[in-house]
Amino acid sequence: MLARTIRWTAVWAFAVTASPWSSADEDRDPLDLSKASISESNASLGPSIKPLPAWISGWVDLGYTASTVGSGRLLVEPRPNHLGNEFLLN
Amino acid sequence: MVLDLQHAPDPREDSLGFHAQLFAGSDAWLLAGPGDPTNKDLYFGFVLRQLYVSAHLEILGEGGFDLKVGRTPSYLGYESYQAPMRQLYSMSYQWFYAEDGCDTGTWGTWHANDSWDLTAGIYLGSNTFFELRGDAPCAVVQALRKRDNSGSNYQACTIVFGDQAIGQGNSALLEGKNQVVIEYRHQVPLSEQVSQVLQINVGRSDEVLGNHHGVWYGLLGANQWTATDQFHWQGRYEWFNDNGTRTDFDTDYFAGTIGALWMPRKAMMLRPELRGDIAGVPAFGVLGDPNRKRQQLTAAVDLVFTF
Repeated sequence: MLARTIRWTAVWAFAVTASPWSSADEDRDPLDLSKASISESNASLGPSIKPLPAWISGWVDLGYTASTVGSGRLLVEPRPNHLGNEFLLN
Repeated sequence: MVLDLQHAPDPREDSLGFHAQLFAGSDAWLLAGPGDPTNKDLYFGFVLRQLYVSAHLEILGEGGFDLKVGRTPSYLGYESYQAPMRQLYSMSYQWFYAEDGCDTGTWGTWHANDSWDLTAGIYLGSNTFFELRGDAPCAVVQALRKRDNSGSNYQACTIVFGDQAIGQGNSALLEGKNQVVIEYRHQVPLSEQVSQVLQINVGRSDEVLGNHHGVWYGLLGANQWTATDQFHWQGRYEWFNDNGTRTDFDTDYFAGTIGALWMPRKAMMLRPELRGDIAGVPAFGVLGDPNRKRQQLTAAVDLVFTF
């Protein structure tokens, strides 16, 4: 299961970063806490969205969480990485 | 995985826009609400997390008026469910237990002047996809004061109320009548390199978990220190009190997280974090295991590719 997840994610990662139509959105810079910190519904707060034309974007997120309370679905927190000692693909 | 298609209205003239976001993976399973497709595989869900049309209208002054109809993210909270738009891999207690998710409804924002945005909306309950949750629609009002145009220097007060107005997807949160949440958010830059956000959330509910009266409140803070354009240190600290109707445990929680955000390439970022949680009762453990603990330490890392 783990090997399959890693392999599949690697394929995805290569595809999205190497594809000729890959264009990380400058106006959606994830490093900018002003974007990361504001409810994204508040479009009035800044140019987090481009005016024209329509565009397609997206992301792939792979994470691992090690937990001292055991493996499996964690009660309460953390969220959204809610599985202890497991990889997640989003 | 997320695929996002959008066309934003032009804020300089009367214009229309739309936004559709396909959301797949474990997060999509966790955050699925009424109206969303559901399955038993907790590793894979598939939802339309955003689906709305929007308009900018040059009315009511120079700032104009924005209108949205459909499913959009919450107006509560500084944290986003969207991986490239958040500070750390894990999220706060407030985000999961005291805010709503992506709601279906209609919202209007009046840009009253350069500083003030006033928003009002009505929606079909917390985190639904075009389906009414509870006995009546919910409402949200927000006053937001921008201290400058940076987008990282502002204050916001948001009030949400209604039947089943709050919750992200946990079964215990599906109940509740006459819910009210008041949130105050204060984000100010402490220096050119250090950002800070503080958030207070207070809520109550009737008829949750049978006929119980729910009360919760918490204080959440986060800081980011920008070491270089590619590397940021992150910190988050939180206290959350629940009378047992949000997390299933009547106790106080304290959580502290330190982490980093490194972006070696423009379309790639890495986020390691170390997080400690402490509760007043043995609340931490894994589902199905009766062995519970009062403390929990997690070490997590995630890798995000954007395109």
